[in-house]
Amino acid sequence: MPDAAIPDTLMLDTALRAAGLTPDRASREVLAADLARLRGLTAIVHGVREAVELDGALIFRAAATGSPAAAIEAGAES
Amino acid sequence: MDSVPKTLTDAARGLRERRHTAVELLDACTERADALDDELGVYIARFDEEARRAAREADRELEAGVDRGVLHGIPVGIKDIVRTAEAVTTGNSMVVNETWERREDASVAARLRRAGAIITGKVSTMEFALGVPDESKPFAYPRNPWDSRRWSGGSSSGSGAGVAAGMFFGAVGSDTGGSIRIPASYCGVTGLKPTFGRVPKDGVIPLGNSLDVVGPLARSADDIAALMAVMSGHAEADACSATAPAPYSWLPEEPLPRGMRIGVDRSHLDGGHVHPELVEVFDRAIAVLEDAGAVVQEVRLPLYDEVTAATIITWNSEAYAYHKASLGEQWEAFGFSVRTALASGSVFTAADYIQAQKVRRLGSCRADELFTQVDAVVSPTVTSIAPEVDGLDSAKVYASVFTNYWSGLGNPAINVPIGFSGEGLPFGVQIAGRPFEEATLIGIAHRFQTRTDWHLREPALMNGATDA
Repeated sequence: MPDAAIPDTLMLDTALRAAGLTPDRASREVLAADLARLRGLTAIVHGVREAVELDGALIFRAAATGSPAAAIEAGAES
Repeated sequence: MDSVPKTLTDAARGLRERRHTAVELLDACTERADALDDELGVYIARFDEEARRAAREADRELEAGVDRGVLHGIPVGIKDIVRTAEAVTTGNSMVVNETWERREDASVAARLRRAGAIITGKVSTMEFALGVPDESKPFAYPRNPWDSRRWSGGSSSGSGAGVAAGMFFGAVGSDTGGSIRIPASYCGVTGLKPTFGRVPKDGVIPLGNSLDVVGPLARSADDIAALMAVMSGHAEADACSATAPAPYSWLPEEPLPRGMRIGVDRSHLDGGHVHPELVEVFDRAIAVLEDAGAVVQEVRLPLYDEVTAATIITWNSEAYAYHKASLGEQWEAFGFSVRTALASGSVFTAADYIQAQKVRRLGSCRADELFTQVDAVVSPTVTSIAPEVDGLDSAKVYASVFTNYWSGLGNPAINVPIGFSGEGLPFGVQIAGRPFEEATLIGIAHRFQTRTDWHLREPALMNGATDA
């Protein structure tokens, strides 16, 4: 089933259960109210199709060398 | 002491010209803290005795001709997510974590101490460098020196407010999505988010490991240059530490060469979250840069919404990963807004996180192309003035903040004060540049500040806060 078809609250409860978290009622309500925003963020990043073929791990190579410029150079090679 | 110097570099000059001593500088800062801190909530812990001993030692050394550089004898505050030898690191949290109870200097604190800086204490932050103030916690509630009914911004709250109120001449902050630039903007001071990896972050409580940077806040760009000269550089203890060489000088001899190309992104200067006076103030600031010799052109930051979304997913996921065990074991010990913000990281999937990293990388490539056309990019830091503490709406705050983009890409960005609203509250802009070109940004900020005095204005509540 595609993500979009899963009810938000079910997804939230599943995620929290998997995380071993049992939030109080007020916190859970805030989390539930925030789900649309979080869904929106993921939709935005998955909408960037030209990024799919890139290797996201290079961000960490950049982190290890401390150089975002290194990631850019590596990007130019790939 | 005839008058308390306004900037770190003026204070350092005064020490060498024997206009004052390090002890007198510290006394002036301490008097201000005594007078104002109940109202402003800058300090979490003050190190009065240790600072006084260090100031006496600095005076002895300077008298004997031992000069450790510009920071020798200068009072500096440190955000309480950075380890120091004097006290435990609380992160403004009631969550118990033995890791942060160790009393030892982080690399950045050790460097400041070796350079002779006087560490006056640990200053307030949002809990674990995240979110907005939480009145339910037994910690200092950071307020804005320009209007104490308002927030000083976060998460380097005490760093920004303490510099603005003259409680120290420079401060250490950290920035994951804007936490140096936002308080710098709200408090009317200069604050630099360095390139990722430029300043070591070992001994600093993480928020988002692939985003976190440590950086300075102070009144002027010259002060920032002096602090960066000491704080930056490779450290083995930090796995993300850069090996890039330091610039020949953190303040270029020709700060803003005629013809330097500055891109201006105005795309966030309209809409419901823009203060009505900001556009005019922003335009005046751009005109100052043009008068100084910059060639200004309109630009649009590539993949702005996409990189911003990727950055938020990244810090949310990384922060959740770091705090996951504590959330499960000590849920009630976290503040309400912080525990919900952290728990929301559990909703993102591995695929979401990985795609966010790809988007960041694509954004870096696009920004690199932009920086072949311009040498720096100016855009608003935040489009609002500091919000009132009562009824503070975090959603409104986030909607007016434009700092996540440069965090996601790792590029440096500096907040520079550009004027005041009718309510007497500061506005700022962020100037961003290529990776490891902080000196270019400091140079532009310096040139701007030789033509304006916004960064030297002092809040009215400082009147009478010192005997000097």
